[in-house]
Amino acid sequence: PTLTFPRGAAAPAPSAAAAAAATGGRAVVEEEEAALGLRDSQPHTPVRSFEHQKPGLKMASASSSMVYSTSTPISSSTIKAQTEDVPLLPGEDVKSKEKDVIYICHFNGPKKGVVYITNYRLYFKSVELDPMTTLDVPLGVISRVEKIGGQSSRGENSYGLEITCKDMRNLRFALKQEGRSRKSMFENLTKHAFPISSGLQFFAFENKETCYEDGWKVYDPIEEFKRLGLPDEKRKWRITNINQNYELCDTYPPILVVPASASDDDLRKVAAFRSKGRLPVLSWIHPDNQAVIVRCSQPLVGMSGKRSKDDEKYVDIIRESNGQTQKLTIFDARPSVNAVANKATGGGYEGDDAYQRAELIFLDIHNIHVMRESLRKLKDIVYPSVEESHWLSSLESTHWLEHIKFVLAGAIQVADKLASGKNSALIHCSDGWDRTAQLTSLALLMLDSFYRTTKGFEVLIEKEWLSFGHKFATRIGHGDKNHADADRSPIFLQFIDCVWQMTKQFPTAFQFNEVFLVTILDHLYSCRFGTFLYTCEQQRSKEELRKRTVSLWSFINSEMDKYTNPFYTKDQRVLYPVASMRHLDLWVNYYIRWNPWFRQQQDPVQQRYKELLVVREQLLKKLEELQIMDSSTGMLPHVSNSSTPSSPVPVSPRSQTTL
Amino acid sequence: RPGTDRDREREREREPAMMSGRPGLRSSVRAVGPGFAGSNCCLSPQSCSPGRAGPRRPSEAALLPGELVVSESSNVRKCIATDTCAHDLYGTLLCTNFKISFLTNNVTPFQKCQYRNLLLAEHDVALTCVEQVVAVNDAKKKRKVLGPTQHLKFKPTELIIYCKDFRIIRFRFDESDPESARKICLVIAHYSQPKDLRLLFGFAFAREQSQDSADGVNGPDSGWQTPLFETYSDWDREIKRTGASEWRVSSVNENYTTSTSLPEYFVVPSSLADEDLKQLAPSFNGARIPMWCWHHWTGCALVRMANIKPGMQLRKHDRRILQAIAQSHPEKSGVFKSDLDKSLPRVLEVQAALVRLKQLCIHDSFEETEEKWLSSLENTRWLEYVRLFLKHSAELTQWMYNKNISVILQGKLYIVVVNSVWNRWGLAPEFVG
Repeated sequence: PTLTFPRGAAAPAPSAAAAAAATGGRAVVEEEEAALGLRDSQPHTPVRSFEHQKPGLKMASASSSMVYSTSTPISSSTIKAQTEDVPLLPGEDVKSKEKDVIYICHFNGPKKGVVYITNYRLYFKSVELDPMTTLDVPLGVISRVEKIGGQSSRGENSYGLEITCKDMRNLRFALKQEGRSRKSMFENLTKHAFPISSGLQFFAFENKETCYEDGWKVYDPIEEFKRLGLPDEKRKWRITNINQNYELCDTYPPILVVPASASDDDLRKVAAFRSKGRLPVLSWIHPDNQAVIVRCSQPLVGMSGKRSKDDEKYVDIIRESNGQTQKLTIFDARPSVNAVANKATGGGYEGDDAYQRAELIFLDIHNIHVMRESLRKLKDIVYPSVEESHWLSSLESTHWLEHIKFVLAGAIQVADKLASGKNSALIHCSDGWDRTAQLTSLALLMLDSFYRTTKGFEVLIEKEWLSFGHKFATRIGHGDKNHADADRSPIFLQFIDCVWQMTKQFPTAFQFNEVFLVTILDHLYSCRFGTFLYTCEQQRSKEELRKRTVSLWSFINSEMDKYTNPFYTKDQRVLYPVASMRHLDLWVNYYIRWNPWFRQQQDPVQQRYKELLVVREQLLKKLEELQIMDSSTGMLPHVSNSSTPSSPVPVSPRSQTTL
Repeated sequence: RPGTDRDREREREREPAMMSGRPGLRSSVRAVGPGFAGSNCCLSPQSCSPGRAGPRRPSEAALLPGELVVSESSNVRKCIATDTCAHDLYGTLLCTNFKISFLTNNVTPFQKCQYRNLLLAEHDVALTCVEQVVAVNDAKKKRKVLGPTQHLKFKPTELIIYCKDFRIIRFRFDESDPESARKICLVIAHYSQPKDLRLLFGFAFAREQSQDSADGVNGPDSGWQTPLFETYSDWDREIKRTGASEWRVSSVNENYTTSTSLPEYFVVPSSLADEDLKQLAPSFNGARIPMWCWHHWTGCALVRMANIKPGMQLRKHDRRILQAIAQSHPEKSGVFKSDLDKSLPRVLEVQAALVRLKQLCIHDSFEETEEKWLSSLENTRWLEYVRLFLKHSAELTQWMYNKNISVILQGKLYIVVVNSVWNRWGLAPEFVG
């Protein structure tokens, strides 16, 4: 029989209490696991308990969930490891095992146990069984492994390894000074945590798990453009596959939407005048007023103030395509000082004289280095301990929320230009793949309710982040040991934080919940799925990711209930969050989730949410039945099952949440 | 988890009260006893009386029984935004013995799922909510804070009302009759600062209500009622509900003969006779002898009392009290005494923090505070005090819930500001409960 418990199997209760009951009242402390109920995404707890106590029951539940189980044969090492209690994914192998390791927990003190290193995770299990401490860390989150203490160091637990993680925590292990255990653990960790540096491949390529949904089918650019009404009736825009072979721009997707009156030759000339060839292309079109959001990189103005007639004409065509207003607004995400400074390296911004009918607005969002530094300061104040006195001023001094505010405020300006001003907007920063992606995707989230559904949000990430070449590989440093690389930056995390702020301000407007956002961030680093690997479409197609890896959306969409917000009510209005320090909060459930004192009692709430979802389903079904009865008798008017107003009226948090 | 079942129980108990939120004013809110937080002055949209949204004239103002219009001024402009008058509303400003009301044709469209206050309309402010009344004349650059009995020599062009609930409401009299404007300013100042608490509207309302119906002030006797803990039986029922068998209701304070600030009936350890209590009372500040608040089913109790006056008897009395409380515990276990004066901020500090918070939220300019919002908020210390109260309450809960030890809350400040101390002491039992 397969020993791997399929993810999402129905029968064994995932709660620690149930597991404890099954193991004869032994309390299982799931140390350092994602606080948001993510533990049931890992198969180990139920497996272990049922394996020990009730083999018959385990068999029954395994067979009852055939849908999920994988047909891939499991290697002998997998089976061996299973008997040793390491949870393994199909395709995952134990690479090393170190005994007598002490995990120095910052919150509950040192725990002695065994460390397993697989090609996917670091797994620690305490010798002590009551309470048992486990630690389950995907190797992808590791950014740095350091040796601490030398042969001469004295003092308890002063010799070992310090592991710095990308997800706001550090792990420390103490090892024996005698023997080669530290050397072996260090080498194995370095080898498997940084596969690219050590000439191995990402675990995503070895992962053999199967899901019954195919996440690679979530985004189809042609489908998405069709949904937006493109090509439009007035034939102002055309869909082109000029970039089929990534010759026009190597970091753009193959299919682009451009002004219909610009010829392929024009496109080439415009691309030549934009940094990295990232010419202005359509990102979104307003269904009613045909105003558009167009994204690109900075123009190559340089110190001498170069101009390109082709670029100017192209931008003017975009302006004209609107037909309702005479103005085009260019949003430069950077502070104006930075935009000017970029001239020195050949970049710059659209000057007044060259682009006379466009207004230029700087959005004052700082660059990747500032953001990285800000997050580093934030980590300092939240991990391992949180200092109660002067908490707010410490938080203020990290400037993290202030940066969030500028990003959100910029996106609000863009959304407002389109919705109220009926203006088209052209957005860029320097290269158009960091701040630009943040701004377009947040503005789209405000403007278009489709992106606020779970699948819509997946489309949004696929489109604005992945297809338009946000450099995930470089920003996250997937599989790369160079932890101090200046190109790393938490740009995507910052975007997800902004989304979280919006879900706080509009608790009913999003179909997904907080667990969904945390899961995305966890797998941003884990390298278990192919989704966030590499920097652009060209690389992804070269690596055949769709064929060789599982998509994160396959995993999520196969278990949608877990990520659904029970309070979701479809509302097509434009959302205007409040971007004020007064309304922004630190996302404690993400940034401080490793600290058990900050862990909110999530389980009962999650349980209640699930119950609510069932009730909601039942009520909707009943409503539908009643409507069918109504329409068959023809006696009563049709009742709409949503409170969606027919005309889109903007909504502010106050008007939505007032009770 | 602590209190989960009890919370649910309480929810159930509260439900009938919510259900009775029908139009009509008898289900109005009364002060609630310990452990019964929450008010139900909101009315669901379904039960709103129709026709209230249309244009109204002063004569049509919705008045409560016993409520009278004292003064009114027409063609008054209510300022909505600070930077523009584009959204201002025109209407009639009036003052009753209960509220300041602004009647306008421009009513916010009533939205589905929105709740409406049963007693106050959108533009109404209860007089008791008013903190300061300021009359302004722009042309003469005059500005005067109006006391209860003042004259106003200039013609007011603007009236600014600062409210206790952080609102600032501005009315302009550019197009209204100057005399009526002056009069209404003075009337509002007068009625919002009564010299005697008996002039508060609640008394007039209660008189009217008791004449009006046989049901009594507190609504019809059918169904569930909020215990007010004014009677022997309310306390007795509470002892039985919580299972505090070693405790009894004492009538030693009937007619307030022992202490003027304690209720007439309260709960004490069974081992203390009324004679003992009388003997102990003089050594407590304000004669506030130990009084039971709540009981956990495992046996530990929550008790509150004043400080014992310094002197020869202090230790002896202190020991006596501790023994009596320990005796009322089924396991005769120890007692934890929490000195609130040491662990919590002083009343005046809390008040000062609120003043700073108000300054930050409503007076300081938005742009200036936005940049330094978090550190400014921290500097008010308001959140720090909230944290201390929560933290201390959580600690006491630990003593009771995890260690099954009775807790005494002891403090001395109530004599200075009785009201504030009630609030201050009221907090802890609330959380423990």
